[in-house]
Amino acid sequence: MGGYILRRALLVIPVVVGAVTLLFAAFLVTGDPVETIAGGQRAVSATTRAQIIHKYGLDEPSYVRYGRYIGRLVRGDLGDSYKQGRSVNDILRQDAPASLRLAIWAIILEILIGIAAGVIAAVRRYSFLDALTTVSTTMVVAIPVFVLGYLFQYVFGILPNKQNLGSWARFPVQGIGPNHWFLFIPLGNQWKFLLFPALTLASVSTAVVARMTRSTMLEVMKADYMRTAAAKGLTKNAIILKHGLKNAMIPVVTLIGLDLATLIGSAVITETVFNWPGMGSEIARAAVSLDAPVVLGLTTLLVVAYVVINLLVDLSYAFFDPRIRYGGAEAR
Amino acid sequence: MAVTDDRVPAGSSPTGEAGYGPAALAAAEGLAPESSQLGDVWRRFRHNRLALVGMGVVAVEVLAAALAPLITFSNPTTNNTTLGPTGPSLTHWFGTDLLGRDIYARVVYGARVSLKVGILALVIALVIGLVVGALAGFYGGVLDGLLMRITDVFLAFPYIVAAIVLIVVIGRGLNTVILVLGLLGWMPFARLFRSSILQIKELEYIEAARAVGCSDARIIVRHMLPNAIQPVVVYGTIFVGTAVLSEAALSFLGVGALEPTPAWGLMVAQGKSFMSTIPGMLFFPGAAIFLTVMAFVFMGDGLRDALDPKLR
Amino acid sequence: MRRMRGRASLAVLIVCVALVAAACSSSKKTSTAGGSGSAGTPVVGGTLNDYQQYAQGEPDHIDPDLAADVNSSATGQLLFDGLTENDYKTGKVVPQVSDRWTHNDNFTQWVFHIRSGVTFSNGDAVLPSSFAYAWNRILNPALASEVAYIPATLGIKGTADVQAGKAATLSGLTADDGAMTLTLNLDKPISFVDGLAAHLSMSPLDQKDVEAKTGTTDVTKTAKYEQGIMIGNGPFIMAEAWKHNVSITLARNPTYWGGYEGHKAYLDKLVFTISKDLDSAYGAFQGGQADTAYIPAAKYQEALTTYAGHVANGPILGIYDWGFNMKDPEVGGPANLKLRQAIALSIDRDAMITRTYNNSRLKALGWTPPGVPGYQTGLYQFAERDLTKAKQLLSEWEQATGKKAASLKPIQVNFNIGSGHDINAGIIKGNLDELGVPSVVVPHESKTYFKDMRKGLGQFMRSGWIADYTSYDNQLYPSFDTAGIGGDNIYQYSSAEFDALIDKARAQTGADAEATYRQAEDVALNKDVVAIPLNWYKGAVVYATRVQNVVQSPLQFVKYDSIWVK
Repeated sequence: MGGYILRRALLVIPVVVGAVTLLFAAFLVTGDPVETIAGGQRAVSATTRAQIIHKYGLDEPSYVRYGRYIGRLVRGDLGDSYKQGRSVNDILRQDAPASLRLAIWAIILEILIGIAAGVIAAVRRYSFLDALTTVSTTMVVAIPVFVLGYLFQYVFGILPNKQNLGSWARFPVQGIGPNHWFLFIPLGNQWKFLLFPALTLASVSTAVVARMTRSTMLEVMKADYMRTAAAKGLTKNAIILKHGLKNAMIPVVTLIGLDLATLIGSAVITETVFNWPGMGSEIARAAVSLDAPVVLGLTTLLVVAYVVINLLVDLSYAFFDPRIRYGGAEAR
Repeated sequence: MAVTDDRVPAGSSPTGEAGYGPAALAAAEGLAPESSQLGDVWRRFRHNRLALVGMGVVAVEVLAAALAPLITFSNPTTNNTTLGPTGPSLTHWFGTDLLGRDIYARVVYGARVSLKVGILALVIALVIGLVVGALAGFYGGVLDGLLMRITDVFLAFPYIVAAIVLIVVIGRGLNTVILVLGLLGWMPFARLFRSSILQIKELEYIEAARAVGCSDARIIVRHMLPNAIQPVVVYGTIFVGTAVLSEAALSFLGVGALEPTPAWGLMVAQGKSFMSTIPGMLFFPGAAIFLTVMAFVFMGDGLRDALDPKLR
Repeated sequence: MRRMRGRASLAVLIVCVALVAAACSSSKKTSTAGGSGSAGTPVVGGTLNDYQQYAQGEPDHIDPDLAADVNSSATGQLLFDGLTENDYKTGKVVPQVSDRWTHNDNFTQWVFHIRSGVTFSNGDAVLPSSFAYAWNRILNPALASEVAYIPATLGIKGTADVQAGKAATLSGLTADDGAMTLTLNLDKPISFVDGLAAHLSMSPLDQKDVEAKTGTTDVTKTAKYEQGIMIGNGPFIMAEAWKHNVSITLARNPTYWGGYEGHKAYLDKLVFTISKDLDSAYGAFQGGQADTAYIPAAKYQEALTTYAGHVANGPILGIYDWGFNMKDPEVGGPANLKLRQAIALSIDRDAMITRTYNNSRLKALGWTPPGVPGYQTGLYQFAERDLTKAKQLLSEWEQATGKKAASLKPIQVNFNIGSGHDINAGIIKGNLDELGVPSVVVPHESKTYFKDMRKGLGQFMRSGWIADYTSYDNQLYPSFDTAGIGGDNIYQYSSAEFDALIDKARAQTGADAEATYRQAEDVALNKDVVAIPLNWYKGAVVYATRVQNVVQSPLQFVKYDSIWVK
């Protein structure tokens, strides 16, 4: 087990290095960093060009710059943005908490709605209710995320204002609001700013959670120990809740763990529509304006988050499910 | 479904097989293959009403794409700025858009674009996934480790962000969108092929084939690939549907298809500004996307159940 | 704000989702026609939640020496006062920190007298040397300022040396803090120095504060000044440091001397919310969350009705055009004049106005918009679409050159992606199809578009220009003078006749200068058909009923210090 953990942990390194290298190479062949730094709209004079090249060390051969970048990365220095005049570390400090909070709440909603729907569907298999939950969670997936976001804004933000409803019925259309939290728990009326972005972000994965819950529940319900439990005279509901749900949670928890890493970086559209100051939209903005240090720095961090969570999730199986044994390369 | 914005990787299951992105829905329910006769599959498939409806919708879409010039009455890209936007009428069933173009014609021609995007992206993803998965599974060892690490790298990139970076690097347009969806969508296929191959690699008939001097390529193509077909069919079906959503997401972010291409995603992304004034610009292409995604997902569900009856 | 600015703002917002694009520049409204809702006596106090200024993303910079587009400059406008100002309502040059100025007969020496008693918000005096410091700083190549061309336009002696990094200070600039005068000695006559001096890039800076906050005298590193709390001499102060992608919050400057209108800001606090998406920001206004919003073109008519009386939509000194690469063998040069004329007559400007812009812009009847002193209506000869005449000109061109239009290599219709330019390109392609000239729509990345066009890589190219300061010169010189090739003259247009007229006008004043500038415009637009002016910008700012006295200048700036809330 110890050897396995070490081996898995070491595998994180090539993945991260590979990701950084790919991105670095992509920006090496794209655009002229001097134009990006200088604004890109006007001709850059030779003197200014020389100044910028010197300041950012762009005159070095690419392998030296690459080596230097990796060196700084290891020390935790993500460099300076080409466009924003501040360091990528600063950008990270501002954006990461907002992203994380949104992702956490998206996952909480995903769990609540997805698991409930999945359990209902599994218990009432082939009933109208089963079909209804499957169809309705899928429907939400089939609506482009931005349309869903605008829909929420209209129904809960714009319409109540037009109808002059009381403040209880009104939700802010966009923005992070007072940005007032205890860790990730919204304080005061912060939750009003959080709810719909989180729902929008959760919409896509909810269907996945529901389906996964349903199918694993079905499998678990057929398992021997369920029959044993029934033989012991437990009621159906007790069996489902106590044994079925518990066992069915393993793959669901996996999914949720990985979702956290992904939602932080991929909430681009939700962040754009709801004007949430997160990492996804920051990277997207930087990518389009060829702000390489920002894209590289933030993406690297997301990649690290992804592989580390992946690792933790895999390792946690050993504890959840003693039937799983690790050995060889990857199982299967 | 990752594909859109906020994608979900289906995560590695306890056995180490991961689903991802576009096909997350399928992966969510496991894809253990089991051989069965085509007739049996069809018999089981047609008992799933949702899947049948989905297949019907897809069939209509394919027909629309094939017969577009015959069933529309105006060119989807010809402006009529004098006319401008109008509501549905007898001449323009879905109304006209900002530039007076017939929305019905654009939606019908859009079926072509969407199918092109979905199918070509799928082909790219399949080919890459097949090569990577087959090499890794068949040869194992260092090559396997290397290829799987590369797969991990691609899985670890935030999807939408990676897509934007690629599109900026390559240059915009529908063809880039197709390429990027393929380049970022092959990983689950690679894993599916690899695990299928691993499963049967040591089986006796493979040993036998090897013993009689079959080449590696022949063994892979003739004996191993068919084993992977079932999960790939399910996965691929959903992949095509969700490619449509990806196209919309990218168009919203300004890196999707370009005017005047009648791509549904582009039309919806444009139409969202006109929700209150020219609702048809959003509604009709939006409905097309909605129905298509639903249809492919349900068809995928149906195929999975039909191919793997023990889950029913 | 100079063209660049215009350009920058038009060009840059890439993720601009608005189909139609309200001019990407997020700007606003009105001035001449515009101020509105100014009922009653000003009320002091309150907070304005502004969602219009940064509705499509945050500015590149807010440092007055770095701000190169309208959005970037908007904050600096409120934090800093220059020697002069363009009156927000009339556009005329009025005294600001300088109460009077003189020049010699041939406009090569200018002396500005600085008011005494004007201070920065930290109490430091605004001195002639505060201006000199800022001007030397902006011209320093180490700062890599995109807006350095404005002070460079003055041609103060020694500018070239400073820009080349050979000197740290301008030899032709004398700041006498004792006599409170700033003396400018110029290389060439410029008759509109007082107008240029109104530009944000000519603002004073508190050297002590800049160097203390950035901890360095190294100009390169002072670029970080804008990341902290900048100290200015304008009606507002920074209440907190710039919160990137979230907000810029300003407060009333309690020690403000009053400016040309003679009052302090009425608002206690001004919060600029930075949005990522135009529709979403407008939604915030509809939902009662915002006090102001920029109206997306798609919702323009709707907003005019719904919020009647609360929309600032006066004219903006901006031109949107499609122009030719004059060095291109297919469309440029005297041989292809009739082809260009035919194209100019075939473009359907009205369709763009009604469809792309939902009537949120004005049809351009010339290059220089009304509001610029010297503007005369009816200058442009190709303002009305005439397909018959266009076809006739085309066949004359065919006869003269022996070419066949139908067998031409398709003409590239170049544009940068975003802001509805693609819609316009589609309209143009349709128009050229009708004319019988083959064409192909060529979208470019916004980031590289103008760079490529500057190099002469385009054929029939989208562009735009929003004035930096109110002057006819600023409308023409950057875009069409030979000196602009490689820079903003993306048309690669070089005409001895045009250049001579500009030089002549620069040494003239008043009606004489205006007449000469008009001749120059006539040469570029009618005689040589370099560019096809399509539309003039209008403001599109909507504000809540509690917001009073919204005035937008023709340079797109809102006079926030004059706004009060009920």
